[in-house]
Amino acid sequence: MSSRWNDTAEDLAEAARLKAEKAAKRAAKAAQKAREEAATAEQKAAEEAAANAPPSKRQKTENYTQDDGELGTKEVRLMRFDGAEIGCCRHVEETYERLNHIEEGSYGIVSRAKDMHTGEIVALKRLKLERETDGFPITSLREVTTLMAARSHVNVVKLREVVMGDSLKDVYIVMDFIEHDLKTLLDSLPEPFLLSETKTLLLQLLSATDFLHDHWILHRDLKTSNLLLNNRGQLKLADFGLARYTSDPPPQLTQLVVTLWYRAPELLLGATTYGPEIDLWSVGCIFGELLTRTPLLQGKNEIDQLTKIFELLGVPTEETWPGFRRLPNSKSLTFPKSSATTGSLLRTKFPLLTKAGVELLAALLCYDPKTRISAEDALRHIFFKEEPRPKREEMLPTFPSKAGQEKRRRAFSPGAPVRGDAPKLEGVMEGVFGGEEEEVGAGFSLRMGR
Amino acid sequence: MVSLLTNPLATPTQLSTSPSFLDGVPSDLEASLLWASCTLIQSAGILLRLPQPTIATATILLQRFYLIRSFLSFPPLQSCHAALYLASKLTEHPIKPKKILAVTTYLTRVASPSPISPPGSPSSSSEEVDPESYYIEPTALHYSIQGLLNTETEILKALSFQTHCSLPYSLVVTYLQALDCLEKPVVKKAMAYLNDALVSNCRVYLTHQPNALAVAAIYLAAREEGKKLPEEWWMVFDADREDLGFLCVAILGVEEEVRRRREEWSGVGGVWLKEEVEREVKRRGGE
Repeated sequence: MSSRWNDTAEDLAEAARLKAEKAAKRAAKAAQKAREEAATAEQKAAEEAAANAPPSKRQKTENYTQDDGELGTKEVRLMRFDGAEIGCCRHVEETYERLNHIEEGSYGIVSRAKDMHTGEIVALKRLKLERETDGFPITSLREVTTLMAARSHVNVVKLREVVMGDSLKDVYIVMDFIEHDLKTLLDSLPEPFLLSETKTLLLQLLSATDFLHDHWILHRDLKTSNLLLNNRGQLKLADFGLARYTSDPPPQLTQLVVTLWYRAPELLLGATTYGPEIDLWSVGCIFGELLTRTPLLQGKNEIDQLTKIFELLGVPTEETWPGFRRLPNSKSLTFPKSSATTGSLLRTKFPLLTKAGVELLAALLCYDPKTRISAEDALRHIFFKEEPRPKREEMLPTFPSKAGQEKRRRAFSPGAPVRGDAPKLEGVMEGVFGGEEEEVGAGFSLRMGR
Repeated sequence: MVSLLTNPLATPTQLSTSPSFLDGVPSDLEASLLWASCTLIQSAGILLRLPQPTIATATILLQRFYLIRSFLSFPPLQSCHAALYLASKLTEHPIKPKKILAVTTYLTRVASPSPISPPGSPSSSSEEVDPESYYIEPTALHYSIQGLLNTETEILKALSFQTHCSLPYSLVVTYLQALDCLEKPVVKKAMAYLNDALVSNCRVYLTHQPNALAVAAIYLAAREEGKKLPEEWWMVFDADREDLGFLCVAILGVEEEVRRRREEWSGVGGVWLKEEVEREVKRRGGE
């Protein structure tokens, strides 16, 4: 059996070789002919060029290719990128020793583990697949594919591999273990970060965000508890549970993404197509949170979140956000037109921030997604160039490693939305009117019914 | 950025001693089963109205899968289902397992223009086909869906979740643009050659990076359309002459190969299930 196979392979190889030789000969002949033709064309062009006084640009390029052709014998170095190898998942029990439990969310359980071969400490995230009826969940597929695509970036938590247990429902994502998350850290710090430190953190976050957007990935759940910090001052973006690839023009996407406090107004108003801008709104909220140590906009529900946004930034108008009235949920809201309610309070909320700082914050928290600053532009913002300059990563303070053996104390923060139908604002309205929140509302009111 | 342009490739050992080969599946049968599976995915993808990138992704996933797993442990039909299902999710065009099963059942039971069609002449109107002939029993459907879902995870496991597939289609357009030769007939031909290459016996999507595939497809298309391209233009796109020669031969060989396989396939009458693969291994082993 094997000998027969060998014969076939050799025959095939031989035939392929012969054919390739023939093809190469033919190609060489064609090339020769092309060269001759190019030479005559070149001559003609030269004559023409001599006739018309200023030589055209086109002629220059022809000259160039001609020269190149003659030097064709010299060594040409081609770029080669080695892809990974194709191979099976390793077994979790044979590779990692579980040390302690870190946290549990709706997505799965994270524990700290040790690589038995290298001794390195890793974070092991077990996916919850028991209840899945549609096979491997598309959200987890997106998480793994986007993390893999972004793993080369220094500010994205590094996905090491995916390992499996005995059953097909036992899937673990293995990532670098990072000591702190920014949320817990902010809560435990006696003082907020210095402005120079804030700048460093923000730059790292923007750098990761820019990388993702450049690779057509939306994170869709940026918040301080998803930002990890190691003891070398490196910020690492984590939890890609809601991330996905996007395209231009953007596909139909669910608006039920991003934790409420960090959710952009276009999502709250029900936009079904959106782009990387939603991540930059979240970056704006994180910026505010880094400065004050408390989340910037803590809404109780979708309506309250909008109220909080309008209180801080003023009610949007046709000028500040063209076309926002056409968004699905804005039909159930009435906005007052008086100018008293349209001013932004950012300046008063952050009295110690420089003009450039407020500008950047306002550019990130810009109502109109089209004019909201991009990650790339934000990285180049003047705020990062003025004093105090961003501190070097290594110079960031280190903290007693709370993770590891100790169980973390977690402050309340709403979770990322779970899959399902996006809530309509109409549904929430009754609750709003029944409660007291309504009184505190900004200068807009809800129109009952339609 | 590099990772987005590269694919994980098969090693020579993986190609020469595949798990199916080690399991005693004759190499020609393995090649035949791979061809039939890729063709089934292509035909089913068309009927499911899936975009070609999704179909190509499914094909590549299947080819990678059988580098790691044997046809005797994972029969072709179920793997085709799972590969299509997984690719539909990965490329954000999700479809229901039931739809995939309906389409493959139709393709494997009713005569059609597809190269893997069972013997018989395709009927011109749908009314002539007895719907009973491609009806799936509810219990059978349930088990098939379970099989599909399990095989999906098996594929992910076998590939270490490295599901990223860079495709050469968009590169063709970019390259032709750079060559100042973006003309419809050339683009169409080049795309067609890329689709041909998916079912090639040489599994070129496992041995070459997308840039080389795009260059080969453009080379063949331009030659056929009589378009002159600059001398040694493929160098600019990081492909060397040797690879180009090999790929051209491989892609041009597909036509002949399909003719041969089609004949062979109509003789054996479909080898899709575990029992059928075992039967065929025995029959060929005994020859």
